Amino acid sequence: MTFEQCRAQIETLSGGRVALRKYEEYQLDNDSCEIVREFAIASKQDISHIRSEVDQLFEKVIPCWRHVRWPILLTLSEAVTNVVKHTPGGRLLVGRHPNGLCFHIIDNGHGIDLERIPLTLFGKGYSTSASMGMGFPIMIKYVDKITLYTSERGTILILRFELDSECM
Amino acid sequence: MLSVNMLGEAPNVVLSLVGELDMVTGDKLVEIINALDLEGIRSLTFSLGELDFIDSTGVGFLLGCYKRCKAQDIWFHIENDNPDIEEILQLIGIRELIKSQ
Repeated sequence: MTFEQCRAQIETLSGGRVALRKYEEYQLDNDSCEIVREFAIASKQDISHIRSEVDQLFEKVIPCWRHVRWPILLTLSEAVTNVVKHTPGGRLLVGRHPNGLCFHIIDNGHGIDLERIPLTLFGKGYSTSASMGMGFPIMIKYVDKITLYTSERGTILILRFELDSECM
Repeated sequence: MLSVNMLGEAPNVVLSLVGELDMVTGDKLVEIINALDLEGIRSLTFSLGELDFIDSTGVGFLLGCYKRCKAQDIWFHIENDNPDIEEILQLIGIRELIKSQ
């Protein structure tokens, strides 16, 4: 499978909500995401720490946070857990964009093989380790837009949540 | 943080989970299940009413408990009235699995 074939397949399977990009295309400022906090992801303790910190951070500044927090914290937990389970580590950038929130999850792993990307994203129960394999399917259910960059240098996920204007 | 409170005793054990169940706290649940004398248990119920958070890894730990129960003919049940948690249980399919007991 070529990269373009994989990109097209993912776009079709996700109804346009998941985009595959080449690793070199990642730039911090190409999605109008203003970064407000950064976290290291090094051990499993960081999973709950990050959830707690992000919860406290947005509780203060997002008026409707109580109504939107569950799927956002769940998705973050899935993404950060993936980094802990499958890679040596990484970092999380937490940000806001004009219409909602954005998260960049950047890891130092070996990337996802091109042929495995569709199954990894959409295959419930598919995992390369002893896990449920539900991380990506859950992310896809709750996130408005996911952009995936992956290479032998690692994987970057950008998760974008759109919030109602009254909520922001 | 996760606390596990035993509300009912053998043969019908009820374990109430309080706090968060994820990759960080799941090992604690495994330790507690390992310490139970499953021989004397006819049913094991997990009550999730006081759980603040669970993700797919957390559900995975419940699934592991289900498999142990099934291997020893122990009836496994999950009590939950939190709609957010219920959605995850349904999405992952553990509800469907339990129904097949």
